[in-house]
Amino acid sequence: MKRDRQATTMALAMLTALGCASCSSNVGDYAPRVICHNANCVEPADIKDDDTPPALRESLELVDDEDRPLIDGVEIDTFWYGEESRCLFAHDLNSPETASDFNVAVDIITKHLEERALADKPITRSADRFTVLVELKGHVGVSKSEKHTAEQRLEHVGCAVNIGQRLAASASMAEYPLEVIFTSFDPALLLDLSEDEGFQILRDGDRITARLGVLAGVPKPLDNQTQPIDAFPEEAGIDFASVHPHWTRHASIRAYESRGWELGLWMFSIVPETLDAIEVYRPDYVTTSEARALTRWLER
Amino acid sequence: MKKSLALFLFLIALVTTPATALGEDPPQPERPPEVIDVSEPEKKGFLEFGLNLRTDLGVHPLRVDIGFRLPKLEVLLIADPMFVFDKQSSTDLIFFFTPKKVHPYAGWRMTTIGLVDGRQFQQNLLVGVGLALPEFLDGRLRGQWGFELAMATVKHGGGLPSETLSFGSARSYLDLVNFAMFARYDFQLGVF
Repeated sequence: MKRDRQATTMALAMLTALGCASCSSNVGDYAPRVICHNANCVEPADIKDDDTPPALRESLELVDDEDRPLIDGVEIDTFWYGEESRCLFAHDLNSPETASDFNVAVDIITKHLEERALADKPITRSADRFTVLVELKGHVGVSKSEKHTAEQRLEHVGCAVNIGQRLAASASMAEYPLEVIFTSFDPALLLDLSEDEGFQILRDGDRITARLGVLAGVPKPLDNQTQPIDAFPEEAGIDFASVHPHWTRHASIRAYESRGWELGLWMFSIVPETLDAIEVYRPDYVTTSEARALTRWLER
Repeated sequence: MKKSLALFLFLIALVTTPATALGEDPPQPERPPEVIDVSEPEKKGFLEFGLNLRTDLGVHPLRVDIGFRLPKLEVLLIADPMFVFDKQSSTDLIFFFTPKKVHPYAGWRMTTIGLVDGRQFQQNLLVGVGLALPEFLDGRLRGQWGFELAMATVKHGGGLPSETLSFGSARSYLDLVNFAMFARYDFQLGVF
């Protein structure tokens, strides 16, 4: 009996100590910017619809009962199709024959934002400005090992700057606040972009907020896209990193933050692991394919 | 003469009759003393309750085990009292096969995620293996370290469309398949 009591006491002591040490906190007033992943965030999001005009339209039109958008921004992927020297609005080259030109995505976004801004309707869920993440994909063919040539990098950068300029013109015309963050896994693309005169004009101007951001996800050798943090030079002026919480080590995330960069988390699916990562890291941006579920979780 | 014969037979009978028959103590043979087992028979069925601990994201760091253990099978229900902190819970039903110190297992986890006006359910298939940890208090406190693979197979509820696990593309399942480790210590209560 004495040993039973000892065991019970030990169990209760462990329960108390661990319980106090591990209490999760609620999200509270925390409100990250909710970004629509791959322009496709209406549940159930099918990856076949990533970076397609219908999914982009449907995602932008997500609103609550009070006609307030459920998202604060959208991510669009730009893919430089090396064989045809085309700048696509596409996630990959699985169906290049049906992939849209990047202008299609810009048209949809600017039309949507202009209509809402001119009608004096809110353009974001809670953020003070609408965010467009323009991802520059780091390969030019079907395989991720097909990297840009120097010339292709400049052409892809030119496409991205063109997107930024068109978005800036729309924001100026309809007078809505806009942020454009150019992101990539590829340091060379970001470095070339930072040196581009058109980008520098956007960044230095006051029409929009133009920034550069690093993407990180599945590490080598499982995937060859993610690069170490020191591959991104200081002189590029990067100030944002969007990482996948399941695959990025805690120390790496802290390293990004230690450079003074704002943090974003991106994910394919909402599972407890991703939600707990949001609570742990409190990112400034969350890129999701499930906008309704995420916003309802944030507001719980 | 008859009296003499009768007396003779009586004396013969008296000499040949065993002493026990006369109520005397017999001589004790030399043999080892008999040992009487006064301890309880070994228990083979145990109720168990204790703590289920983990450090990774995805499941609360502290949950409560309630189970039943037989010599080669253990059935465990893991409840999640920490749901009060964030409206999220993970409840497991696990079957361990415990012939030796390595315990392969399979089970099911139902995760609930609190939303602003409802609750989404995620159904997970669990497979893994546990290893016995040192025991304490004469085996009354038993431990286990485990490695787990959890696959979110179905999401439903919360007023959102249902989704099922697909292996068509890595993007479809990458977030839905997760590995984790746990440790648990349970107090054992013998039942039979």
